[in-house]
Amino acid sequence: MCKSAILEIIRENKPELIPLPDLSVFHHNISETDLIADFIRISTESMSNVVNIINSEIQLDTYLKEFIAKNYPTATIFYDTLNPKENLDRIDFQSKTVDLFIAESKLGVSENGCLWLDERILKQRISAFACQHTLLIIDHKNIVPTMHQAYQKLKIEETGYGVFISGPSKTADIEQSLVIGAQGAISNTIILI
Amino acid sequence: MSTHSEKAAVFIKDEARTDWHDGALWKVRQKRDDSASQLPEWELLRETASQIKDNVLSNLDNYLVQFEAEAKKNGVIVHWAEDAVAHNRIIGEILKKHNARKIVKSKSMLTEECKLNDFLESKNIEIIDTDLGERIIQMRKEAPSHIVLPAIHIKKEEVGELFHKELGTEKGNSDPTYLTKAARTHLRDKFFEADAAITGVNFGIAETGGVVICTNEGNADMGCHSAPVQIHCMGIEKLLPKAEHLGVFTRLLARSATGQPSTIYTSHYHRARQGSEMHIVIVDNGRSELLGKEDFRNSLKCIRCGACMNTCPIYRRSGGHSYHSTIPGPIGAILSPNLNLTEYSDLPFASTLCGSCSDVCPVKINIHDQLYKWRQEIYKNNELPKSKSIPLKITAKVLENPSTYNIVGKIARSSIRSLPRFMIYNGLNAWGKQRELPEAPNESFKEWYKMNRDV
Amino acid sequence: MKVGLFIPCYIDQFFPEVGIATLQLLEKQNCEVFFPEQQTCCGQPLANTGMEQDGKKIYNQLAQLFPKCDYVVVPSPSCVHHIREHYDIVEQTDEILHLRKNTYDIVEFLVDILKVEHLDARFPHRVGLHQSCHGLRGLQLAKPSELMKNIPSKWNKVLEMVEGIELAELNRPDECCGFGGTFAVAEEAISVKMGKDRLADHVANKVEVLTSGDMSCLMHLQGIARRQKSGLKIMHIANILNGDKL
Repeated sequence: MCKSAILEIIRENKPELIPLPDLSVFHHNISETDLIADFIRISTESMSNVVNIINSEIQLDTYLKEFIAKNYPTATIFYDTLNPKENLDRIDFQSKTVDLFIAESKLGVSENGCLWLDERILKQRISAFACQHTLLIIDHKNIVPTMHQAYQKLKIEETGYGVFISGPSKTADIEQSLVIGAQGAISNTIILI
Repeated sequence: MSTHSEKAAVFIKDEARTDWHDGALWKVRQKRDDSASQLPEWELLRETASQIKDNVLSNLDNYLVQFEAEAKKNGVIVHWAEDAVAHNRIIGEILKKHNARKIVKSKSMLTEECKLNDFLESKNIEIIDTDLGERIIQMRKEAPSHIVLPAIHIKKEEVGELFHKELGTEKGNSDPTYLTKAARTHLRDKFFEADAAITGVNFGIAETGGVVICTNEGNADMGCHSAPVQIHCMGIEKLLPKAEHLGVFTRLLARSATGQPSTIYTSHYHRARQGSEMHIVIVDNGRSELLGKEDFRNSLKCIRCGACMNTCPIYRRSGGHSYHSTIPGPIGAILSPNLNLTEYSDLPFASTLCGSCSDVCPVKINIHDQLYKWRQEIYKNNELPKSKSIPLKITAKVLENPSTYNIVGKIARSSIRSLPRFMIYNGLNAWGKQRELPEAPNESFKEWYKMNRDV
Repeated sequence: MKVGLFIPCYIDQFFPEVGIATLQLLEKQNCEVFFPEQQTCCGQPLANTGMEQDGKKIYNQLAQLFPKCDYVVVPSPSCVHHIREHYDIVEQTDEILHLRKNTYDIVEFLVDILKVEHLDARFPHRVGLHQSCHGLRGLQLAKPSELMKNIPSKWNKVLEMVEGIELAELNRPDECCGFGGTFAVAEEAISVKMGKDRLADHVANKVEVLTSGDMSCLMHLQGIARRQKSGLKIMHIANILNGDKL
């Protein structure tokens, strides 16, 4: 079987063992204010709409209801992982246009605006991609400075699938012109609580 | 077959287009600079990534074994392909087993290297490249000209014409948003109808058996989450030891490639969806051989970011197709000669050895050193054209003998001074095609020194 | 201090004024200059074309000329880079090791060894500096734009000592000129295009005099500029530092 042949050549050809470097050199002391400011700025640069209601007294559910009615007035079909109206597994993305995907991420990254969603939240993996718009909630206390801290917090193999999302889908493949809305969501909104 | 120099000369004939191509890529290089300069630890990240990859290459067999074991525990089916033929055959067999006739594929330079599309099409299997840039070049029946920006050489008017012909878009409409929307609609159905999804792999994690795929469009995920079979093709060198190493590489990849702090989607696949199958094809195709070449082994650290292409002044002015190899540009010029020294012997010479590529490489591959070393290999293996080696052998003899050198120099100078212009500037003088030769002084420095200092 | 002078082949034959300026710069700094006339070339043209094995004799011959010198100075970063980095393929005799360790480019020598703080030179012109690749990335004479490290510019340091000089900012401060040795002939189309683009950058930024530490870059750029009948003047940095007139 070619596996053993490949491994044999590798064993013969590999150089002497070189140790792994120390990753603890990467530590980031950043104030909460700066952390949030960076997250907002970079998410905005990545073409997400960011709404900061950190100090708001309003109940999230109430706020979301109003926000969605105001900002997605024509939306009729929702993939709401927070308050699912029906069994999310039943929603058919092929036959329907699903307008809005709603979820709360439990881990955000300030340096690049990434938000982590895994299949426990997604249920259907395709949901965050096949909806027209995504609406993601993140508690500011769940934002870490960089990917180093993010991967320290995560156990990536805990679920069969997990993804960092940092904005609406995009492409610049046609003469380097940025177009928002390639294959995935055509807009991404982040509500910072 | 034409060499880089011949193809580049053709490319550059359209000077305006060359300036446009050069300018587009220079902008990407500048975005990379802006992004990198914002991280005070940028050079430390590069050094760390380089060391991680050094460790991987020095322990590759063990990491591969570990990776396979972990993946298998997750129910993933793992295959090993010693070369392109085996890779294609394995994929063909998986597809046959599932009666898969409609395939969607997200960007994978490895599948380009193995010429997978040609193989599947010969079996009447429909394979659609879903990355927009890849789809465009697929429709044009061309190879990608850049590993990250496959259609960088194409103007929007040309895409407009192409989509009008292939997708029925409005004639003369070259608005990128309009065209992208048309592609979105066209590809949407392809995802949902696909029998299988094929992807490349940005990083394989030995510790967990998972694969990580980075895209801006979300096309890899659209495919994998729709199709009942997902196949991930991975070169042996793409492993990282642990998940924590992704912290380093995800910070470097997009910044180096396009200047973005991250790709929009960074997807981590460990297990198949319920009711579907997940395969990983581990591919060698010359990599284990390259591992044994001390001078060139470092090229295996490549994470396929394309930064070297964006910075290379030759690549920007000649285009990826001038390199006539799957991977173009500086990294291509050091990888391809390993696959076929004769066919790619021109590539290490498509460079001035300026060194900018080595400086932008996120894993610190010593690209320009390797270009220099491949030149020595090419001469050693008699692949250097006689038009270069013969004049230089004569030059060596002249330089070894100071009196001969002095005479030859004097003759050269007096010829330039006295010969009529047509004798100096003609078809035999490549230098003189668009440049003047230097003016010939009456005395050399040595002659001056003799007169003015030797007392 | 006894300083050996190495004047590369093409400077000896075609640009003796650069050799003269280098010599005079060293003499003005009270160096005892030794110029062995048997010298020819560092062997770079062969090595860059893949024929380094055929250059070994040349390497050894060069090393034989300078064992008694404390330093060897060359008005050419590319030659210095070649000696430092690529003379590792011959037997590492005392002469070879001595040469590799003690060879310096003239600007490097002025800044790092002589630690010059003042130059007796006046050049009241707007000057564009072409940062030659071997000097920039090979000898770290300045910070490459793509590298996120703090590397002070030795070129700027000495140029700023010249009275009346005005240094222009370029659009692409360190793009390669396209000479590249035999590349200039083997990939003529790209080579010339790269050179034209460099010249255009200087012209766009109203440069009067284009300078560099590498005469090979300048020979290529000058060849194009003269064919274009461009008014741009081209001068080696040694001549400017030496107070030579335009």
